Amino acid sequence: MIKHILKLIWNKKGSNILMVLEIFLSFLVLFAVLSYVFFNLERVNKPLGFATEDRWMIMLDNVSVMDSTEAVITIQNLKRNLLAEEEILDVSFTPSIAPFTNNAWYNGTNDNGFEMSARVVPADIALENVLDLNVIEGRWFIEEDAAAGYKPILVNKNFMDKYYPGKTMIDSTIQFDGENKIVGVVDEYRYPGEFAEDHQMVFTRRDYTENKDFILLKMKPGTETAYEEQLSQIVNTTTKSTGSVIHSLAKRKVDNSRESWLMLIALLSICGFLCLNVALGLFGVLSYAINKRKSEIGLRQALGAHGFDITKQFILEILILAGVSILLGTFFAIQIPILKITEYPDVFFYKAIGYSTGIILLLVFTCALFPSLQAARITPANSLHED
Amino acid sequence: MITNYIKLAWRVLSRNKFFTFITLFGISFTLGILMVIFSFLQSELGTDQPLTHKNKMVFLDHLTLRQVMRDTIYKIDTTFNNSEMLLDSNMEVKSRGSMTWNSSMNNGIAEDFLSNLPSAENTTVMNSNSLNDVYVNGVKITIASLYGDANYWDILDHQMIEGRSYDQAEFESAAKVICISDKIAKSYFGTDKDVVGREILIDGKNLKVVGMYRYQGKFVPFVSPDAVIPYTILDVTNQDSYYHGFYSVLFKLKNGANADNLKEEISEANTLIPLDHPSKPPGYNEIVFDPVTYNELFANAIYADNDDKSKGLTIMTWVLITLLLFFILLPTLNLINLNVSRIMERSSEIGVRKAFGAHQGNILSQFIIENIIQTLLGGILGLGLALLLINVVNKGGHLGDVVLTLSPKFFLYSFLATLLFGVLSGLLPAYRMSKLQIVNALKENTI
Repeated sequence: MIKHILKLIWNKKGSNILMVLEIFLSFLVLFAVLSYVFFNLERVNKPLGFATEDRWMIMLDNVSVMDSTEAVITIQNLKRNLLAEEEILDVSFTPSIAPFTNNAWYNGTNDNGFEMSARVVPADIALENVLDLNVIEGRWFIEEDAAAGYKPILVNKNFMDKYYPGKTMIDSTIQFDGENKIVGVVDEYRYPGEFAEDHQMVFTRRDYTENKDFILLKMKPGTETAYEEQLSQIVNTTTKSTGSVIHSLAKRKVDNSRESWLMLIALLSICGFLCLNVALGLFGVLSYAINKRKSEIGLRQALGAHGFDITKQFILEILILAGVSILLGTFFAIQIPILKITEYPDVFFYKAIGYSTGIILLLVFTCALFPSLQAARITPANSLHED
Repeated sequence: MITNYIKLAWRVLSRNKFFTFITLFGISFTLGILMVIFSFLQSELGTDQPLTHKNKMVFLDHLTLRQVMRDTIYKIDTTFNNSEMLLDSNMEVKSRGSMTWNSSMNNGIAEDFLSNLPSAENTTVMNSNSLNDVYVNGVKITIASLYGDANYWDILDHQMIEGRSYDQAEFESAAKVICISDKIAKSYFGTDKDVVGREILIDGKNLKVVGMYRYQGKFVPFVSPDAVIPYTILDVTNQDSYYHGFYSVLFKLKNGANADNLKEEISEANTLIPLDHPSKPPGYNEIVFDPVTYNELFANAIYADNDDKSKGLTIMTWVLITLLLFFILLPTLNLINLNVSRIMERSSEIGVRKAFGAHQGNILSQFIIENIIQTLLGGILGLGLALLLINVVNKGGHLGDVVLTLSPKFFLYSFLATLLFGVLSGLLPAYRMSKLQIVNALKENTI
């Protein structure tokens, strides 16, 4: 049976090669798009690790350029004045490494050959409460840390998984830009946004008076945006400036991801259109080709083939063609994870190859089914009569 | 002749509705999406206003302070010579890593060391990262304003709707003036008519509107600020240091000068800057400038290589070309496939034409013209689709503030793409048809 079909395919190699080429290209396009989509979707599906609803952010204008004593007094006043407001539940001050910014501070250390690198997030005591950070082990910074004889740090789960897998390091001292005592582990804090890649992180304690760039606010649930004007007046009078800018974190989250989502949706719809286009084309070509092989079908039926045999023959024919194209495509696609051409994890590429294979086979099968069923209904009387 | 071909093409199209649908669907979608991509590239990287001088622009975003840490490594080899031990030591100095600090620069650096380069016709110093909240009747408007000098208006060719841009004298005297975009005029004043002479309160200062220009949404902030203000009204003494501050520099190339030369001149200007200013953070011992052209700036936003700023553009260009190629290749193959399998449908027609003396070239051109007519029809449908998509994108603000525009060039490119698509997808089937022997062509079917 298979041998017979292979012979039939070989006999029509001219037009079959075009079809193989087309399916092969569709496979490559699907593979590329799906790898990209899977990679990004995995990141989006991970939790951000911090709350954005009813959280506001104020970008301060001139505190960072005041002289140090003046800055400390201004920030202390700011905190007092803000906390006095009924709408504001808690206040945290951060440097420019803040939610939905691309600012990052990398630091690395090489402790006798043990290399570590991480993003450093300087944080004050209130940050955990303001952003609802999830401390899964140990504790967040406490007031006593200020006077303690050690440098307290928290790390994130990613950091533990990478450098100390399976261990608990609470109260251990590690070398990271000097000696530090790990007091807790934070689940996740992907502050640059939903599409941000995972990273090892180290939270260092920094008193709020030293953080002069951003204020994060935990607002009373349901605070109206109209309150912003009043809030900006409080900030502006306290800092004697006029340039502060207020953002809602929930809105920043949406704005921040918009371009990435747009890219994903555009790619997926273009890819979907290409598949539809190819499917329609295949359908047309197949129904035309089968129509042209009426006498062959008639002969087979006259010799006793059932309708099912005919359907099976045509579907197998096209599935073999698709199989060849997919093998060819997989050969090229698999080079990317094998040769480690990119730094992305291999699993997405294998997943993409799997899904592309499935989609192509399904597509080809559906396109072949209808014309093949039609072919099975051809009667020898009709088809052999024509010639 | 041509009218005959058109008539024939029309007949063929209306003969088999299903095939016509498949063909036109493929063509119109492909061309429609191609047109949207063209429109995007055209509005971001074309030379429409205000980017008239785009190809002459060189941008220097920041100043990098760098300290390369070096380690001296001693190696001692022990060798035995006639059972006598010899020590051979050598040392090598290797870079152990470096510490860099990137930030936009102090306007003083820009004015003193970068404003008179031989290949630059004009230079503007600006800060395009400034946001200001203003409240109008309790509603917040966030204004992304650009603080710049008077040269800004020479390098970026904004279309003035009302009034004028501020001039050098106003810039030097720190006049409290502002040029706003029509977008801000509408949200702040509620109208974009007669706004010149009115006042706008930004950053605690009452600024007089002297001009209003058309807002053209772009990804690059300095091309489409909401408002432009002379930076002399700001207090420039409170910047980070003698080196770092709030400002970036945009250069306009002299006529006939080479962008690479200008980039080199900018990079080499680092040697003129003293490294011993007391405000310099300790440790750093080198200043690095890495200027980019406009296209490189755009490409670096998507893919940036920190060591070589021009690499991003090369990579992005190739990625784009490959993507477009794949995107066009698939529907083309689809169309070829469809056409090739349908040759026989018209074999009798070809047979008759050949029997009456038509040459292979005649047949070839007939089918190619037919195919071009078909693609042009699909192109028109695609154009409709593209206009619809562009409208949806612009109305819905799906690209943020970026506005897709249509220009004569866009129509020209789209037409060329359609033509190319038609010829490419028609060539192989037409060639096959034209090679058909009369006997075979007439034998297969009855007329």
